[in-house]
Amino acid sequence: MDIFLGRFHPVLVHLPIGFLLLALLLEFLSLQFKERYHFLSQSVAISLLIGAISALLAVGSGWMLARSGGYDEAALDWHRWMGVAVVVVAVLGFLLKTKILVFPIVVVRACLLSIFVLVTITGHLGGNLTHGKDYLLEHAPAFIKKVMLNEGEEEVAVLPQHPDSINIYHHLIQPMLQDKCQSCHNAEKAKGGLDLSQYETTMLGGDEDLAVVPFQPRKSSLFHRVTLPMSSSKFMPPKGEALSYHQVQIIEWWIAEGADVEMTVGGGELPEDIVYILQHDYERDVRPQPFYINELIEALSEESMANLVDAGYVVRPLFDGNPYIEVTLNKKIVDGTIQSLLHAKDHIVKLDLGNTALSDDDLAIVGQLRNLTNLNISNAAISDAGLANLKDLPRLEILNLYGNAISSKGVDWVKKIESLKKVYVWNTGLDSIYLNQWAKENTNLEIIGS
Amino acid sequence: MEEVKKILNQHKRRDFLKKAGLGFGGMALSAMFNPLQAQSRNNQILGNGHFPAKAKRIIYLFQSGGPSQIETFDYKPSLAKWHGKEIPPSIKGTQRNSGMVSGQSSFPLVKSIFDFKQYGESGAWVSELFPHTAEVVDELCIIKSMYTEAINHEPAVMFMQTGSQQSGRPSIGSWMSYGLGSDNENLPHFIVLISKGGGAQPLSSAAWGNGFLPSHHQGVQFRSGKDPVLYLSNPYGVHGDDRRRALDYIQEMNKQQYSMWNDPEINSKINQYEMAYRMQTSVPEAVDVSGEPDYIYDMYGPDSKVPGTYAANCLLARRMAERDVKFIQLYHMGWDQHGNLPGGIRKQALGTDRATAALIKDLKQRGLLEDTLVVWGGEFGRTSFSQGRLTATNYGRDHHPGCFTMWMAGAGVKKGMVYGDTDEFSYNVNTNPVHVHDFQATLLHLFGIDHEKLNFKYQGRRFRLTDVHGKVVHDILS
Repeated sequence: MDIFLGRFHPVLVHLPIGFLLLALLLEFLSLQFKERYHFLSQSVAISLLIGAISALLAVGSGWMLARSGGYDEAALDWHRWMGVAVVVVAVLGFLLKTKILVFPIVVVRACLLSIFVLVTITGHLGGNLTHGKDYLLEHAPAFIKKVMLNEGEEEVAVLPQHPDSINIYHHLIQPMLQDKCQSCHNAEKAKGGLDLSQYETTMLGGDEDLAVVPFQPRKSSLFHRVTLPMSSSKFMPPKGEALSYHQVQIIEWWIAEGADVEMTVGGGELPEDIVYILQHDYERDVRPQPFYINELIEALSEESMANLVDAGYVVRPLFDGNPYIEVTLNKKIVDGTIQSLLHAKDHIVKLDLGNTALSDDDLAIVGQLRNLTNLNISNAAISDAGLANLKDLPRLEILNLYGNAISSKGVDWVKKIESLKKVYVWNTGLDSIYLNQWAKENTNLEIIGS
Repeated sequence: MEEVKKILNQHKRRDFLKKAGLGFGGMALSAMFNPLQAQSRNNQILGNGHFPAKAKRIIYLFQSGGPSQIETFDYKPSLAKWHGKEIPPSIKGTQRNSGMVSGQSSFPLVKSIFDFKQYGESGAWVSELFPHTAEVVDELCIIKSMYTEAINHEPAVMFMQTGSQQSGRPSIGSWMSYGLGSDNENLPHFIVLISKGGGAQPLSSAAWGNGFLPSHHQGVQFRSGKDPVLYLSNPYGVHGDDRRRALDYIQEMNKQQYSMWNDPEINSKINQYEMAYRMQTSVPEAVDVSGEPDYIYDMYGPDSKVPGTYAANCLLARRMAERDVKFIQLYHMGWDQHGNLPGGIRKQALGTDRATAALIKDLKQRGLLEDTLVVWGGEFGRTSFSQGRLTATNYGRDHHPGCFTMWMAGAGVKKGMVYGDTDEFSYNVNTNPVHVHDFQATLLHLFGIDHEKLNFKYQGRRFRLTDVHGKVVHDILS
């Protein structure tokens, strides 16, 4: 019964606000425009009386609503006793205005003024209790926010660039909760006993059930309540825009992974969906980075670089500031041309020696470039035996052999390159029957023939 | 006068330091070793990308005139039941229409007269106009949700190619040449090939202009004929050594002038003389298709033996790509079917489809598709309602900026993907809209360039290809 009556509080509170402010307005008009509106002063007293009675009703219903709990005690106390004060000054105002109590005019004015101040503050406190502290100014222009909330100085969780630094709770989950849930689930007003403002309080859960059950999204109300049909009375959030499908996916994934507060995006292999969401919604590429970004080595010395350029190579770093290089031969091979590649043994990631008179012996040198991922030796003069030199290249992914006379013996060496993903063998003398057979054996290898 | 020179010199000193490192090969070196380049400065050449590049070169098959998306890739079976009926106002909305249909009192919707089928593992829909392209559909990333701002050819081509509807800005190829330099010192960074014949619409050279960038970054147009570059051989009686000596003296004089005036255009002049000299030997070799085997000609189709055709240019484009020309721009005109669309577009498709597909296949078998990007598309789409009278066998379509289809293939782009969607009339973009600036930003991204960082200060402000817009379409990147 208490709560039933208590819930009329939000309706009733508007009456004293209206009547009391009306009384003040009438008083003001009757004094300011005496000639036209002097008669209005007769209505002030009755307006104050109705205001006082409705204020009493509001206080009563509010008292009952407070018993339902879920509000921050300190904030509630202020609202409660200021509400009582409104009733007191409103009654006082009525007594003064009807001259039942006789005091100098200054006291009467002070009383009316205090009604105005008290009604405003009480109303605002009540609003904060219902909608959350930030509700009023949430969409205020930036300059107002800055003055009122000191927002410029507040620490904003900026999403870091590197996946290892993106904390799932702090950077992804918490901002969502702040946006959609915390107006009702905060430390001051914990609806259903649930406070989502901190990790610890989130994990404590609400009165009825746990918000987060690690590893079990379906048992976690944080996931369950936001995925109910929108028509359900238990659907969260009850007002405003629902969580997006992508946001729900992140919540589900985080809980399924254990809902750890320390967990970062860069920890291990990510589901494809999550990679997509981070890319699409957060503009962060969290796919595993290749070694040439993660394993940085010392840049190539000026001398070695000059050696390569003198030997006829075009040399470019993979990108600005990266120590690894991409090398293309643009001149004819002479004595020492290939040998000079050893100056950059660890640095060469991509090597283009296509359309040159590359020999099998030269390949023995190429076979020492341990960080090679792309090798183009198309239209060169290599044979089956030369390919044996490539079997120990641990990172070779793409090998272009087109235009060389190769038989199945050479392919046997190529098959030994475990890291290989793509091989180009058009115009090599390998027939399509053989290539089809090879493709069947190695389903992970893309074989491009003709 | 001396005062003027002094002031100009002071201003350009830093430019000089920068340009000293401009030589070929030295570009990478200077970026790595020149500590001065570590600081960011105005109009700085990049030399290297901001992040790892997926693409090293691009072949841009520009289909000038605005190929109809409805007859080619954007299959709309729903138009069949609307055929002949007025386009609903809710669809037509307030989208711009050109002046050419403003007098029309009726806007009957018209379905494609051509059949569509699904092809490849990706199951993308392709019209019967493009049987060969359909074969390589698993290599393509088809973007159905392109849209632009311009409604007429010239501004739309300019917008697509330079990022501004008004001519005068640098083209994409010039930006890339400026930003990344070249991998082959003997051929221009940016080559333009235009198919012979073509349509009624003119194509202005501002589309491959350098704008405010130094003029050696402009596209070098090869002639569409037997000799793509004229006067490559020395004049009768002039020996190569003499020519070299003459050029050396000219260069010496130009350098003197440069040290006096520091005008970057003098540097461009030096660059151009030297490039022309090197092209004397490199071009005849690059454009000599006589050594191509017959099965290659068969792939590209019989036209490929006729110099200046689209097919022959596709073959040339492959040869340029093999020689590491960074930006190879083809233009094929005649896609502007305001009337007699069925006949017109059939002719266009016949002239291009086989060679386009052959180019993809040929690049792929050589391993070039690994780091070569191929782009196919025009400057805008065409309306779903008929321009002029709709008969059983004939109709036309007007310019339509609201949606059109392009495709990309190769380096760094997802294969066998169809991205974005239009409404059931192919009039408005439904999902994943890609603005021209987004497309340009994505293009630069594939070359390792952050489109917001590649800029050039001119007339007091920094200019970019994407102006103040553009968002990289990460969804289509592999």
